[in-house]
Amino acid sequence: MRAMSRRAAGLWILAAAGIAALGAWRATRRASTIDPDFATGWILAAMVAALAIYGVRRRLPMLPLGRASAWLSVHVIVGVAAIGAYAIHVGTAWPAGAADRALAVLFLAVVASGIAGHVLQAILPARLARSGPELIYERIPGEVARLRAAAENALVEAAGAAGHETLGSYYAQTLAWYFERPRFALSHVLGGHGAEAWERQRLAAVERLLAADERPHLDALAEICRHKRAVDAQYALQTLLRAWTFVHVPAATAFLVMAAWHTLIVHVYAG
Amino acid sequence: MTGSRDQFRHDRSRYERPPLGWRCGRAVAWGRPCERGPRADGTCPHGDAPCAPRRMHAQLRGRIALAAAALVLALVVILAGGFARDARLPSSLDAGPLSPSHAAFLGEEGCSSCHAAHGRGATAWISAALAALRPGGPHAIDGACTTCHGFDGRESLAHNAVFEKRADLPQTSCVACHAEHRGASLPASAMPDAQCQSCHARQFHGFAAGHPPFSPWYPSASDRKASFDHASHISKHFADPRNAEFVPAGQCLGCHQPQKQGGAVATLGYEAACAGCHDQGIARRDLVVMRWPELEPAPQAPEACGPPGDAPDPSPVSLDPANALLAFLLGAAADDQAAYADPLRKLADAMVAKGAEPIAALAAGRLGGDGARLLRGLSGETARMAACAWASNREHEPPGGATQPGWRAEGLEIRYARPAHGDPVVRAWLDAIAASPRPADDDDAERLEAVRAEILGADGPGQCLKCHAISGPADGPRTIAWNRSPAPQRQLHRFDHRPHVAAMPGAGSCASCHLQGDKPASSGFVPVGIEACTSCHQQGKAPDGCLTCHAYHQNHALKPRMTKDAR
Repeated sequence: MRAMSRRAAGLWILAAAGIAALGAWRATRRASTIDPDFATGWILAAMVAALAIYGVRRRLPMLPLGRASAWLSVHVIVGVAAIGAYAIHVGTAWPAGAADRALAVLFLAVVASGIAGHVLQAILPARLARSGPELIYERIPGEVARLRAAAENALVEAAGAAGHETLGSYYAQTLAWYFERPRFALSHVLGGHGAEAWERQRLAAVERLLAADERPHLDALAEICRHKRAVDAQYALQTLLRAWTFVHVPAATAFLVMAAWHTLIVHVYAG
Repeated sequence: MTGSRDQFRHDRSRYERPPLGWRCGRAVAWGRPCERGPRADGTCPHGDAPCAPRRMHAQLRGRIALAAAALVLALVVILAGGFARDARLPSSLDAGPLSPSHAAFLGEEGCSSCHAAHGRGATAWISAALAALRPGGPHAIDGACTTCHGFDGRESLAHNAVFEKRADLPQTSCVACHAEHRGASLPASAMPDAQCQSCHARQFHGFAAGHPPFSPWYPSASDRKASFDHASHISKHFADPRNAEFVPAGQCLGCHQPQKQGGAVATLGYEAACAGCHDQGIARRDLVVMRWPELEPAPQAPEACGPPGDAPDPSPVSLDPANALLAFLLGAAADDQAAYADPLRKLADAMVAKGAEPIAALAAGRLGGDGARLLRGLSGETARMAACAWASNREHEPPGGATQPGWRAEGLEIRYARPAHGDPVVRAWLDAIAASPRPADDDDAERLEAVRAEILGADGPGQCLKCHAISGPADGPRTIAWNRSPAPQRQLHRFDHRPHVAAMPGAGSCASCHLQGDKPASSGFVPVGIEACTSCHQQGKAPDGCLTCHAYHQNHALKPRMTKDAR
């Protein structure tokens, strides 16, 4: 891990030096047979191609092409360097032509979503580990269904053992909404305690109405609620971890098409 | 039995694997998931049981990405034809609005005015793209620029014609500095200072922060000393009440006319500005070319001069030494009769025979000038009669009493009285004397210096050099600036007096930059330093960009094709 960190630090330094050198060359080397706009454009194109290869690599996990974490590190470093290369190539905050503006918008969307994703991937895994059971995202609906069934079984047991329907009626009026699907997504994303407060308030409200022999069943239901809250947190955070890719990947794909068009046009219209 | 590999099969396990592409639709709807889940192709393993399989996130994301790419591609291709129909339509070929001077090119010819491949189909596009990939390919558009724009030199040379003979400069192109499609507010000629500094080795932050100092003689091109003493004129002569009528009104602007020209400030000229005071002084000083010196024994009258008159006085008619000019021409010391006697007699004999021609030949040979110009207007007969008189040991008495400007032989001298300022004969003599190289013989060199002191000195004929500057080594060939020096030819530099005079109206505005001092470099003024400019021309006050004072191209103009088309 430490060796990887040193390697990543070296790559960061290399990328920063490369971009600084490119910027200095762009600023000083104007009179030349090498057109600086074309040269910086091709360098940027090479960097974009390197970034796109990461998406291909993710689809080929079976090939021995190195660790995925190493690929991600390189993807992030080259991506940040590409921001500098883009600024050097374009030379202005906002290009003038409609096509170039579309290209700029797509680039900014890719960069913004990429940065957001990188930040989320740095923050959320630790929170996921703290929030409770580790669940495969695709299995969370099943887990919610299982908890719902467990809650309903607890109510059936309560009704059968004590002969009271208070808890069952209250579940049908309030807690059934909670067990339908994951709830309080925003609260979980923001790290709030909205779900916990909601549960406590609802369970405390019904506790006063229960007979003594119903209380153990309420405790069992409270335990199921606590588990549901952890599953909800997993669902909210894992959804967020996936959501940014729905901007990043389509925007990057559209950017590749637009960049290819831009490359074609600037060469055709160079003469 | 479920083997170790089978336990992860989609139809044997509830484990949902993202790479499969499908997941149970019941689970997605928060219902209880199917025990076996959908098949790999999304169909339900339970036959007609209700199943609504959903795509996995990765596959859904891939579909969206493909749709986005397809949408962009479709828009790009569809909108590519926008410009072909109407330039106002949105187009994927739109590189941005043109500068005002080029905006009209969107008319009849459209983009093809500059871009050859525009609207010519796929083949032309491929050819153009491949051409652009070759070295120098991106500069091919320079040809479109020079179709209309012309200037001295080749466009691929830095500063075009200025450094045409230098081979160490890199190649350049129009598009290296000029950018188009930046909108109406940014003409193609506008560029930041960094554009200039990108090629120049010496880097600095701005005109007021690091710009190299001006030359030590600026605005003069050399160390040529004062040709007009402004200090004495302003403080002494113009202050004298006796000269009140000649003092120019408006001080500096009374003689100089910066409002009529840019870099070179015109003056009113000698006749209008100087003659009132100086004509008399010029007229009083004649050029003495030849003064007959003492010669013993007294010569005998040659036969060619006709019958001798009264017997001449046996004592020499002249007791003076030769004038400096004649001594130099004869190659002898002015007071060394033994040395000059023989050549003087030969000269006199030749003049008796050929008139002025021997003097012209002698002057041309010794001074290097044009003999005909030196003695232009001197009658051969006048020279012959003077020579006859001197050879007869008599003073020459010219016929008639009136003294007109021009050549005159009288007494023991042949002299020239300048008829007007700018006389060509005086100029020819002064030019020849100033330009004469230092003789190898030290005695001869000393005699030349004596001639220069007499003729070119402040009291010399015409006092010409009081105003006309002479430059060059003190003991070598020198040149006299007869005409007012034109503005130094600085190909990369421009200065326009007009806006400065307009911005600082009043007679004293000139002194803002042109200061008199103890060590004047030109016309009594100290050199203009960069500080005179940077006091105003700095960031936030007055323009301080490179292009304010410097020009890249020389004699830029639109070519006839362009102007003809415009008509």
